[in-house]
Amino acid sequence: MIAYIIRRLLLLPVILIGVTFLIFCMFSLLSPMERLATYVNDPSTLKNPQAAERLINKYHLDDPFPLGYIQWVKRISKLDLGWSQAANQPVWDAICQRFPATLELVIYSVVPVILVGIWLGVISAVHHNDVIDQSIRVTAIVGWSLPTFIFGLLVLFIFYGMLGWLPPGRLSTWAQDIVYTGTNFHSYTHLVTIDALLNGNIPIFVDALRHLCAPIITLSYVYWAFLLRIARSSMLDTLRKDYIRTARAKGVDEHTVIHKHAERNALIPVVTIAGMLIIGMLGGVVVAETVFTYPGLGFWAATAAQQLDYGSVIAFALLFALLMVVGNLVVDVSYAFIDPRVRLE
Amino acid sequence: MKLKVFGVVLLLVFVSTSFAFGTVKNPDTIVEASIGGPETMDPYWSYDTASGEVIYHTYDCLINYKGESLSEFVPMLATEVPSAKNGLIKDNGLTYIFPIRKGVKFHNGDILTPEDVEYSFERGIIFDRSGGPMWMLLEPLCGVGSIVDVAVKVAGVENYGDMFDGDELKPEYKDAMTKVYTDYVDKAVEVDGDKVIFHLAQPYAPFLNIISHGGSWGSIIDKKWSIAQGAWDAKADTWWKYHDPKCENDPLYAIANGTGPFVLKKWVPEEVIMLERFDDYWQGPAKVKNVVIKYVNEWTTRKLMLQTGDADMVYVPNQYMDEVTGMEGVRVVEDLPTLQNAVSMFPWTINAEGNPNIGSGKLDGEGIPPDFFSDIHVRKGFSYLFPYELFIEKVQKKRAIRNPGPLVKGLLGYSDDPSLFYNFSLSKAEEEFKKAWDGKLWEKGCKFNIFYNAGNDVRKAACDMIAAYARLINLKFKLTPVGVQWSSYLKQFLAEKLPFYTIGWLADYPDPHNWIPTYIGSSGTYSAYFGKAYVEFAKKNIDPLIDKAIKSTDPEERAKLYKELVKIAHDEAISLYLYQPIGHHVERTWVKGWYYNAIMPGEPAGADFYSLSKSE
Repeated sequence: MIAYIIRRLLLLPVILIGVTFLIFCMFSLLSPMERLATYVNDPSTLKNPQAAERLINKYHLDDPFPLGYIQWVKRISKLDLGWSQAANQPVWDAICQRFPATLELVIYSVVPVILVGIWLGVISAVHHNDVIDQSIRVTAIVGWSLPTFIFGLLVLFIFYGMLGWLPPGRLSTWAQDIVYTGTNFHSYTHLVTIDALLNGNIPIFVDALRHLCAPIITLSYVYWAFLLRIARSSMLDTLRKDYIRTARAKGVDEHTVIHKHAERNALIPVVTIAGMLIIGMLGGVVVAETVFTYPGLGFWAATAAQQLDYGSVIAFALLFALLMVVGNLVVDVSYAFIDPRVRLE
Repeated sequence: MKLKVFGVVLLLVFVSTSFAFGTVKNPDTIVEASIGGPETMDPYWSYDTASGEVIYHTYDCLINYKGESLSEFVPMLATEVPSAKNGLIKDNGLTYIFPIRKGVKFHNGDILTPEDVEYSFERGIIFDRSGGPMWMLLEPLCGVGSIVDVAVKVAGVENYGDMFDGDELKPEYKDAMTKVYTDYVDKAVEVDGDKVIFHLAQPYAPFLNIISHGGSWGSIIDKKWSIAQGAWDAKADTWWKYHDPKCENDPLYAIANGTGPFVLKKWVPEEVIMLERFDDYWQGPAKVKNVVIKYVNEWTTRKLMLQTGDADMVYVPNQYMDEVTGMEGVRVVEDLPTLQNAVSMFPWTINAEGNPNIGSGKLDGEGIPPDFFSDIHVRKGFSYLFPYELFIEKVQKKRAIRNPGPLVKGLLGYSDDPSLFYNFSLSKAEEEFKKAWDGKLWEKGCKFNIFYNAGNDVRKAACDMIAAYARLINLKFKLTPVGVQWSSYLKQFLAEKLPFYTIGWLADYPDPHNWIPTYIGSSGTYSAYFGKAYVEFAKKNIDPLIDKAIKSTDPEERAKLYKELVKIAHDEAISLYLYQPIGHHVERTWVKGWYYNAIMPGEPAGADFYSLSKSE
């Protein structure tokens, strides 16, 4: 097992070098002047004829490719990821500021995604091809095919515009005042709901939860539809296995067959996919965060892409690649624990 | 059961905290929902309107504009507005004297002194970040566009970087660099008792406009506090260490301590700005206790915030105005002339090297020669070919007006004289095109690309119209509208490879000098890239008038000179002057006290928060 983990860990830097190289290659296709133009959104900033030249030198935009790559890798290894035009702050600060918000959103979204997704998947498989199964499948297909931004806007209109229940953003104005500037509120984790509970401030907790609900609903609906389909097909496969037939033939009651014998085995691949799903959600929050002006990584990435803010886009790509690589490793290792055959292979 | 009870309680809490219709929401707080947050809190870095809006409310200038006026001033941290009449402008406009107000407090309790004023401007000059706004002070005070130009001249080197070994100044240049401060910067701004005196390198008519610009280069900072934060130590032999830093390395990047009506309470980049009333403000405390600016890029969200009263004022793009007009509890103020315009350029010489935009590079029907637009008949032909009124009505939805030349309405020298406008006329366009290139253009036709920056639908529509009417007038006129990303657009513009392109300008200060040289001067931001032939033309016919106008202190004489320059722009059909956008302001009806000043950062969507209150 240890050998397997070491083998996987050794691959990690190779993958990361590959990822960074690919990302740097893409942005090196732009000329120094084009890359400079991504820093300069207003041509009036070039009123001084020497300004363009000075800026190119300042940002090392005309270094040769290998030198540029090495310098860039050196800089990112020191967490000097440059300046984010979209966030108007250093890229690393932007990540530190936004990551907790996205993490909080993903954590709260994962619970309904996994619980509802698995639960409906099992129900659907148990009621294979009857009305319940068909209804769930139709709902899943709608969820999977409905563009997230349309569903998000619907949620926004109904729950904020019409009902006024679930406002956009992360906190109300009064709550921002307390959380951001209050001397009696300490941000221990930067996850507002958790911090509110740790500070014993229930109104802030409720306010943060109100702001989280709409993006959670939007995000969950898409992802549980995906998980449901996986859980359903895995459960159907398991229910057709010989040992299930044997259990039934032995007279074991149906509830025990499904929940004790079938469900446990059927959920092994589901758990694996759920792990990757959580990592995937970190990158998939772009639309939900943008629609609800939720100040997380996704909102920032979307703004950066629109503004051709290549420093931020690179950082987001790097971060997401890193999360995928590490997430993949964790899932593989945990899968190896669950299923010893993986180690032997 | 317990879970159900918890759910019901939570739902009740949600519902009870959701609605507040019929009453003023957040009565002590103005909430603005805008787009794109500030870059910095340092006034001498700031060159964007979002930073300017915040800095405007946290710092004060020596003088400010009077209400809605763009030409009248009121004293702020100075006790008088200098004029020749009160003797505070002397030596034919080379000396400006500002008596400094006493007893004004900074947010940290420090008292304003004339030394703070001197330090502020000197720090701004030596700071002079790349692409920043300080050229506006350097031009009048030092006669150059950058402190780097002064340093290069004094040290006798070719490049500023030649004086440095890495980040360290080479010892042999230390005296020269010290001299830059002592002979230029220090002499430009001096303290004399309770007065601050500016010595200009040349008479500079818009100097008061520049000094009065709130939200950036005119702001006064606290010397003692700034030095304590790590800003320039006010010494002659260290200034270069504080010149052009990286934004995040600037000690004043994220903090503020001005004399303005609001204190910066919290800045969460691209999320929120929170300001709190400064109770010791020298003009008396503001009416509202807090100002919150939320940065909400998504229009639907901003609209719903306005509708629910969670925002008091929001930025509304033109295309969504119909959605807020008539909204209950919302006031829409329209027809606000903005200080910006859009112009299509005809470079007289196009860089033909590897340039596919001009086809064959010859007047053979498959391209155009590089000097295509140097023929006045070509330029005039296109000037008659654009359907100005139709464009404003259909594309701009009547939220724009026409300009006769590079000057926008509201500025000195602007004229509504109908003879200065080209009107859409296919017959006149045909007449001009037939005269162009000795009739060869009409006979052979032309083929070239016309450009707009991708994503700008208004400019795309302008290009589509020009291309369609060109085709209509002569089937051999093949113009292809091309939208390119801004980065590529700027690159090709600087390389002089764009044959016809549309670009805009937003005022730095409300004076014609900020517009005329930009568009038609020989070294203008745009016109300098029209090619050598144009630059020679401008040096001979335009620059002398620009020079005369900037040195004149008589507004009437200046207005006359700028009218003359606009007439040249018209007669020579230097560019195609498309439109000046008309702005609008959208706020809840419970907001009171809003007024419009076109040069104020954040206007017309934002406001001078000091003047606002909230009541039914």
